[in-house]
Amino acid sequence: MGKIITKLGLARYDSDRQLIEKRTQPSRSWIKHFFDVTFPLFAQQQLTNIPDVGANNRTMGTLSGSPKPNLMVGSPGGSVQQILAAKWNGYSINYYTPLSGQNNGIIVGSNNTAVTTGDNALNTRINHGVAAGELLYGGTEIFGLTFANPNGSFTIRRFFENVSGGDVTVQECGIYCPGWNAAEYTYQFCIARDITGAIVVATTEILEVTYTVQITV
Amino acid sequence: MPRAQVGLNCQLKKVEPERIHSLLEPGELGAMLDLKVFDPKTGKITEQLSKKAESYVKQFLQMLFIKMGASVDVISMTDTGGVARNVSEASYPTSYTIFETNAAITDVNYGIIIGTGSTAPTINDNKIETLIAHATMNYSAVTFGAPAADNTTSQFTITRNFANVSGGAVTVNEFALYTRHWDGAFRYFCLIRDVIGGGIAVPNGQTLTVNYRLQAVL
Repeated sequence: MGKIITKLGLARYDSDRQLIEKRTQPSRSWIKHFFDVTFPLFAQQQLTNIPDVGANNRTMGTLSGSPKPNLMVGSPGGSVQQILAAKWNGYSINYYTPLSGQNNGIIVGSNNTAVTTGDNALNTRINHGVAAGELLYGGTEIFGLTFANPNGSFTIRRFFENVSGGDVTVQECGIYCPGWNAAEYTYQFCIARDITGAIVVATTEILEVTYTVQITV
Repeated sequence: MPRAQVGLNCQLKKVEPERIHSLLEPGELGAMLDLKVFDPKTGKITEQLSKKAESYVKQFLQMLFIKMGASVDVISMTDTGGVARNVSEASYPTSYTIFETNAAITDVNYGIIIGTGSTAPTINDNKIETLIAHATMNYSAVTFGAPAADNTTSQFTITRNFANVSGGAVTVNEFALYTRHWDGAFRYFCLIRDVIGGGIAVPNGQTLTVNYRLQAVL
């Protein structure tokens, strides 16, 4: 029977990259905003009053005949960086702040409030950093697209390193991605959220979070 | 005579969000396929069924991969003509549009497509087996229902009507969702293909409405 399922993998490694703990659970995480960011791609129609991760209502626009960043979850690590880049139409070069790091891709948090279809964000995001309670965000990678009839799959992955000097407890994770408002702005939307159960990441340890999306026909 | 009295009977009821019909399992990302045959002369629905769409195929996962990775790396995808095409999320105007399904009236190249083939779907299907032409079943424009959610299920809806103008009954066995992508010319790719055993009969003069409701269940 055909279906798409998503498996959530959580693994903890010590500072020598030796596996300490690994668990896999079914992800039950795709929430309404997954369809809010996908809809403009399919329908080429605008949506209004869609709450972003800051709970601000945004317009999800279309820009006919152009690429749209909606659903883009691949991301550099860190918090935010500025890059020197050309605008998409090539007319000017300027500094831009790409949506990255803790604002895009796989995100982890510390709250275990139950998931609802209307969630706008993780309840309590763990920020990128080296201070107490923070984790260093690596890049979010998309890789491993493979097919073997009747299955196909790929993986979304991010590593988080704890150099805070103390334990950091992860209890939720999710996926953020941009939505385009058709006026040269993008905002961040939470398209997936899962409760992980408590995972204590001790200082110097690394947490690996993977979402594996699998089709079976 | 006692005076008439007007009173208020106050009742409080918790109104639950309207439940969205779904046959998907918890955690599943998928689609529902709804079919309705409608007689415009009588205004009556003559047949109606709803089932789980079984068959997202290879091209759907490839496009999701490209989109999520904003990949400028080229993925070779087989279009509905059986030709391998290089698809990526490269910059405009080289390559764009992923998942576009908003086909206009008469357009049988993308959007929801119907056919008469009955071969079971496989992940490698790149097209419908036997297309039913617009001259037989008039294809409407594709329309959309905005995203919605209840307590457990999120979805949006893609709809197309097919009016039987053939002069006889037509049995529709297969259903598909095609998308188009631009790489200097529009290329068309199959995202979903479903086959219904026994098909659904559409008498002459009646209209088949097909909904694909893309869903996720917590």
